[in-house]
Amino acid sequence: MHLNILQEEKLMIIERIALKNYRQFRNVTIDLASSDYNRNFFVIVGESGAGKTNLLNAMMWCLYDDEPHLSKDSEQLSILNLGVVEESSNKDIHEVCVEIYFRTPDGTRIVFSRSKKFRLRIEDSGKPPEINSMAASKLKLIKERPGRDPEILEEPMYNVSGDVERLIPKEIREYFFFDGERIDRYFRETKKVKEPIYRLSRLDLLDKVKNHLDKTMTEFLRETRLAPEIEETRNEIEKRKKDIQNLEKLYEKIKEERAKAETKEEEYRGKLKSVDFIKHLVDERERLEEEIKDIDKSLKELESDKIKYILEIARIAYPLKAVEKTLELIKEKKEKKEIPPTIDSTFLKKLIEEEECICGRDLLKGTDEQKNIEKILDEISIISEIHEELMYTEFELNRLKKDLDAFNKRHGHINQKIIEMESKRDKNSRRLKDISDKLNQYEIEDIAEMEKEFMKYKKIKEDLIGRERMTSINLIKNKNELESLNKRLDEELRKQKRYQQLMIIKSFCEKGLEICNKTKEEIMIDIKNDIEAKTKEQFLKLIWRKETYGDVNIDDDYDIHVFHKMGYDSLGSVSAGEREALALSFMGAVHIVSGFDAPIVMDTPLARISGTPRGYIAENLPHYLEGKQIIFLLTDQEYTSDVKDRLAKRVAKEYTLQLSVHEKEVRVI
Amino acid sequence: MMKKEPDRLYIDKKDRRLYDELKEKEDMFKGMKNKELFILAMIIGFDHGAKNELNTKDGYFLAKDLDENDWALFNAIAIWEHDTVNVLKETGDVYSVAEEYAHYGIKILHHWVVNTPYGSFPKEFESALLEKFGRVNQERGD
Repeated sequence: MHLNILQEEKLMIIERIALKNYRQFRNVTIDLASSDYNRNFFVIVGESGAGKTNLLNAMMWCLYDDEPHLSKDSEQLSILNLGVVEESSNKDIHEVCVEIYFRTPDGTRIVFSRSKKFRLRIEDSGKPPEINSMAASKLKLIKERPGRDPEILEEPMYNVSGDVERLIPKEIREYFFFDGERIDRYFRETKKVKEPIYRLSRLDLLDKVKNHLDKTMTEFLRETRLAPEIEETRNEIEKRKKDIQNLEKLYEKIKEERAKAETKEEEYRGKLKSVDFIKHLVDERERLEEEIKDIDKSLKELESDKIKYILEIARIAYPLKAVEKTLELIKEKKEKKEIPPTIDSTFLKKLIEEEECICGRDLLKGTDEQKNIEKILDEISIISEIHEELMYTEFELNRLKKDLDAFNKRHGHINQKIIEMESKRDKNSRRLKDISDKLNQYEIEDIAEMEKEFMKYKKIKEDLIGRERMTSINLIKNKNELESLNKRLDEELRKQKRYQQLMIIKSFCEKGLEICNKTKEEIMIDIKNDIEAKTKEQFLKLIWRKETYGDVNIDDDYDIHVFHKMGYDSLGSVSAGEREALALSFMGAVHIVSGFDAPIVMDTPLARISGTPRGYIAENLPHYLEGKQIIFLLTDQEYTSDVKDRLAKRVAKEYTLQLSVHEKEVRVI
Repeated sequence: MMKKEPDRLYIDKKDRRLYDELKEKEDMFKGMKNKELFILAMIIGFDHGAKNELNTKDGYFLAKDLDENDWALFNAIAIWEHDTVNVLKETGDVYSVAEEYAHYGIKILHHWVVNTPYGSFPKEFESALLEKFGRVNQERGD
C-alpha cells in the first residue's frame, strides 16, 4: 500500500473515544477527527497516574473485554468510577461504557460499544460499598453507512467480536496499541504476526481451493469401482489423510495454547518488572534466558559440526585395514622399483614385433623366451596405466590417515567445548532457579504469587513447545507415508488401461494442489521479504548510529536479527532507544505490507529514551507511516518543547489529562 | 587422473526405499548427498565383511560426483577385495566391489537407525566409532 499524505485519506481513523464511568474517566469524550489530511497525529499528555495507560486499557476493554496494562493499584479497584460510587445510594445501578468510533475511507462509521452494569450495596455501618456486577459486559456494533439507517448488531445474536478480530486481531493487538514500556515483547513474539498476515493476505482462499481439489479427487476415487488391492490402498490413503487432518488440528491447537501461555508468561513478567525493588532480578532473569538461548544455539551448531567430523573420520576408520593394505602394496611396488615403471613398454613391444631380443637372441612366437617378454610387457602395461592412479591413491590415503591420527585430539577438543557450554548453561539455570526462589520468598506486593504464575505459564509453554515439536515430526512422518501410498496407488492404476481417465483426473488435481502450495509459499516469502526490507529501511532512518548497523534480517519464523556492519548479530547489544526504533520499524513495516487498516495508539513510546536519541526519533516520526492516524499518549517529561516542535507539523489536536482535586476523576482538556 | 567408466554408480532397485527412508527418518542424513550415504553404506558393509550382488540395478549418483578422496577409498576397498593393485585397471570391477558392499551395508545401516530411539542415532554412531577407534589403536599399537 503506498501512503501519500497529499492524497485524500485512504485509511480508517478513530473519530472519537467516549468513556462513561470507566475508572477515572467519568464522562469524557475525546475528539480525534481532523479535516486536515496532513495532520494525522493526536497527542494526549498526562503526568504519571493521570490516566494515560487506563485510556489504553479502556480501548482494550471495549474491544477485547480485558485490561492488559492495569497497574497494581488499579487492579485492586473496581472498573466503576469511584466518584460515582461516592455519590450513590444503596441499590443504585450504574453503567460503565466505553465507545470507540471508527470511520472507514468510504465514510461508514463503525462504533464498538461495550457496557457493563453494576448495582451498589451501601450499608449505614460505614463499611466500604459493595460494587456488584449485574451481568457480563455486552459488546455492541453500530454501523452507520452514508444515506442509510444505522444498523445495530449485538452479541450473542451477532458475532461482534469476530468483527473486532477482523479489524485488529487480538493476537497482534500490540502492533496497533504500542506499549513503550514493553518493547522486548516485540522481539519475543514477532512470529505471532505470521498467521494474521496470512489471513489478511487472503491466502486462506488458496487453502479453500486446495481442499476443494482434494475433495474432488477423493470423491472420484471413491465412486470408481476399483480392484480389491487398489481399493485397499485407496482406503489406506483416506485413513492417512484423516490422521493428517487430525494432527494438523492438534498442531494448531497446541500452537494456540502455546501463544496463550506465552502471553500470560509475558503478562506476569511485565507485572514483576513493574515492581521497582525486584526489577533488577527480573532483568537479570531475562538476560540469563537470552544467554541460555544463545548457548543452546551454539550447542546445536557444535553438535552438528561434531557429527560431520565423526562421519568424515568413519570413512577412514571403518575401511582402515583396506587402506593399510593398499599402502603396503604400493610401498612394495615402489621398493621393487615396479613403480614408477623403469622399462619402456614400447621398447618391449618392438622386441616382440621384430622377434629379436636386445641380446641378439631370437624371440620366436610361442617360445618360452617370447612368452616371458610378453608376461613382463603385460605387467608393465598394467602398471603404466594405473601408476598415476596409484600415486594419487597413496597421497590421499596418507592424508586421510593423518586426519585419523589427529582424531583423539580434535574429538577431545570439540567435546571439551561442548562440556564448557553445557557447564555455562547449567550455571545460568541454577542462577535462574535462585532468582525464582528469591522472588517466591517475598510476601509483599503479591510478588510470590506473581512469580508462581509466571513459572506456571513458563512450564506450560515449555511443555507445549515439546508437544509441538513431536506433533510436527508425526505430521511429517504421516505426510511421507501418504506420499508413498499415493505413489503405490499410481503404480497400481497405471498397470490397467481401464483406469486411464481416473489417472488423468487424479493427475490434474495433484498438479492443482502442487501449484496452490507453491503459490502460497511464494507469496508468504514475498511478504516476509517486503516486511524485512521496509523494517530495515525504516530502522536505518530512525537510528542515529548509522555507521554501526549494516543489516536487518527477518527469518522464516519472523524472528528479527540486527547485524553490525562487521557482520555479527547485535540484537542483544542494541541500546534501549535502538530497540525502540527497531520495534517501531517492524511494526510500521507490518502495517504497510500487510495492509492493516486500523490506526495506531502509542503509549509512552519515548519513555525509555532520552537526549539525542529521543530527539532523533521524534524528528523522524512525522515520516513514519505517513497518512496513518497515530494517537500518542505521552508523559509531560516525554513531550518536551523539543519533541513538541519536531512533531508540530503533523499534530492535529493536543489534549491534556488533568486529575481532579479529589483524584477521582480525570478531565480531558 | 585416468578417466573412469561407466558414468554412474548403482544401487539395487529395492534398496532405494531404504536410502530414502534413512534421509526422512534420521536428521543426521537429511540433506546428505546420495554419494555420501552410499559411501557410508559401503564402509559399513565392508566393516561387516559381507557383500551381495545387485539384482536389479538403479542408478544412484554420477561418477563425476566422486572426488579424489572418494576414489582413494573405492580403490583401497577394491584392492583389498582382489588382493592386487591391478584391479584398478578395470573401473567396472572397482565400482562393482563398492556397489556390492553398499548393497549389504545399507540394510545394516537402515536396521540400525530404525531400531534406535529417535534422536539417539548420532550418539550411538559416535560410540560405535569410538569403540572401533579404540580397537584400531590397539591393532596399530598406539
